[in-house]
Amino acid sequence: MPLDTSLYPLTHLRPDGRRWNELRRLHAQISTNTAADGSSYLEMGNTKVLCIISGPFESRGGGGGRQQQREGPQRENAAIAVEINQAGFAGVERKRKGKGDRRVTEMQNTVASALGTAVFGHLYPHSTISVTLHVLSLDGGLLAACLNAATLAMIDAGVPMKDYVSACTCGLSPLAPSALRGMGDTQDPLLDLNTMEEQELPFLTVATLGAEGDKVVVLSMERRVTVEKMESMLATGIDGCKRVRDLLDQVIRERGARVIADGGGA
Amino acid sequence: MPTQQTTLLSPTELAYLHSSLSLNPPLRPDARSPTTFRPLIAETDLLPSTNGSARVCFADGTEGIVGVKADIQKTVLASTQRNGTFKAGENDDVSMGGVGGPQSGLKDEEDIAGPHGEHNWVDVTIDMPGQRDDDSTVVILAQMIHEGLVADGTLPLKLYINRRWHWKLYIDVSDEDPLFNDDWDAALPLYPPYPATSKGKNKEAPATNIPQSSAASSKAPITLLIASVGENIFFDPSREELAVADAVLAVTITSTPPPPSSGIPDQAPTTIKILAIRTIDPPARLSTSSSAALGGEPGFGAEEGKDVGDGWWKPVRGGMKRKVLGKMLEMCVKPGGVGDEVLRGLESFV
Repeated sequence: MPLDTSLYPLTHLRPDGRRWNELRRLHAQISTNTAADGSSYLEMGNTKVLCIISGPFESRGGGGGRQQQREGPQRENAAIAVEINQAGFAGVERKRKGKGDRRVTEMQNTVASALGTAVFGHLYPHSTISVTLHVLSLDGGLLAACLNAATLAMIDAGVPMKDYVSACTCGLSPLAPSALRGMGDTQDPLLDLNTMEEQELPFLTVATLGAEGDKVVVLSMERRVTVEKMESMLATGIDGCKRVRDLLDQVIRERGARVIADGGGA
Repeated sequence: MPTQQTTLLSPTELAYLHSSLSLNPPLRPDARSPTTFRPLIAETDLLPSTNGSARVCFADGTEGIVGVKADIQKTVLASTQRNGTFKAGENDDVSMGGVGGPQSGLKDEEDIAGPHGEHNWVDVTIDMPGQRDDDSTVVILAQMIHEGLVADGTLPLKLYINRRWHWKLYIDVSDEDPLFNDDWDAALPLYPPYPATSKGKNKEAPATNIPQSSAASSKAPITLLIASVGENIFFDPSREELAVADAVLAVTITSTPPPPSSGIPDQAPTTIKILAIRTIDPPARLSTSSSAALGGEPGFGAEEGKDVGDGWWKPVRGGMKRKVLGKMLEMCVKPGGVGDEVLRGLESFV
């Protein structure tokens, strides 16, 4: 492979030419699907996710009875059901994920719990909000893209939320040869990794709630990293989340301005 | 799941709809003419990681996204198949005719070395949110798309590389909001497989099979959904119309280029060929209102398919009339007919 993350310490440029604190191009749209209650389409670099939300609707099936018992007699909060659907053509190699894939299930739970903290679920007791995420193209930061897309779709659906849930990934650059010789520490945190970097470097996914970025709602990391590096990675990640939030806000505001210009009614 | 909605129309509403569709000329709820399609948005080549991709959206929110990926796969030779665990005779994917003719009787490996194709080189999978992978709707739909693609036998032929290797074409359809009716129209975006494969193939495949494939080449197949109410025929029925349809048909058509003798290809009429016809159980038979109208009994009632004066609708039972079927197919294939129009419309894409 001509481009390698091991070149980073020499040039301070990443394989795709970004610097350490640069996000990939984030492009998003809302109300992409006219029939759905809420929908969004989000691109973070080459990761493309489509989100459809229907609801809040009354939980179906069995007319109460058994389901009520299973979910407790009074369910004060709306349930959020997330389904992530990874298209077979999403990756570089065609790979079909079964419905019961455990990684996907874990991501579904993560997205559901993150949205659960942001949504005012108590306004919709005994109801379900169904979130379907379609992964069309995969190039790193999947969980972050899913969270951002779901937030946008939630806003499009008009579900009251405390604030945006904005997410991004942050990795750690490889050790420079000089550092091995004891010439100082040159490991940088790298923002918003793509697939190539994700495969080589340790990274974490962080999602924050609110403009200040002071409330972390998701923090997931599957690799090992020394604990001293953790702080800088997290700080960079939260900083990235703030910028993602601004971008999402911009998308919503642009859409809002257009709706008003068109004379109301989306 | 929320996406699988049934029409919530009362028997009286259904009766009203049925009678307005039975008028001459018929009156469709959205004031379209019987052959008018709903407005749709279609785009191709939207995913960089696929060899070909397409997206089709209908105004009612039904959406289909298709990605096509080609992969090189080792060909299992017929001789190995015979000696191996499974026998060639058991699969019906006998090498395609037209090139080497029927080859089931051939013994020598060399004899099947010519370009050929097999049906299972094309793989169609459909993903619907909230549906199991082995759900009957999903399986039948995938089968139908597959059938339409391989029916004329030219597509697998294009996937031939050489004796040992071939392209395996994976077609993944991912359906948004799969309302029952429109699933069939999701077959529409499948025409890009052709440009995609021919692009991929021509680069590396030996020149030997290019003349053959271009000689036999036809346009990508299109599946049309047609419904009938009484004597009237409707193209691209909406969900409400399907709810009262007497019969629903999915017809896969393609156009073959005119023979070279007929002059300028643009002006010569293209011949439209029917590749596959499937009847689809109209939802009327499955809907709750129909079973309510039947009193829950499968063999009940003498008057059916008609509004019985009092505005109470009963779904039709029995097959469709031959005359109606003939008229449907004629509308599809005749020059200047609906099939012609649709295929011409798609030319702007390719």
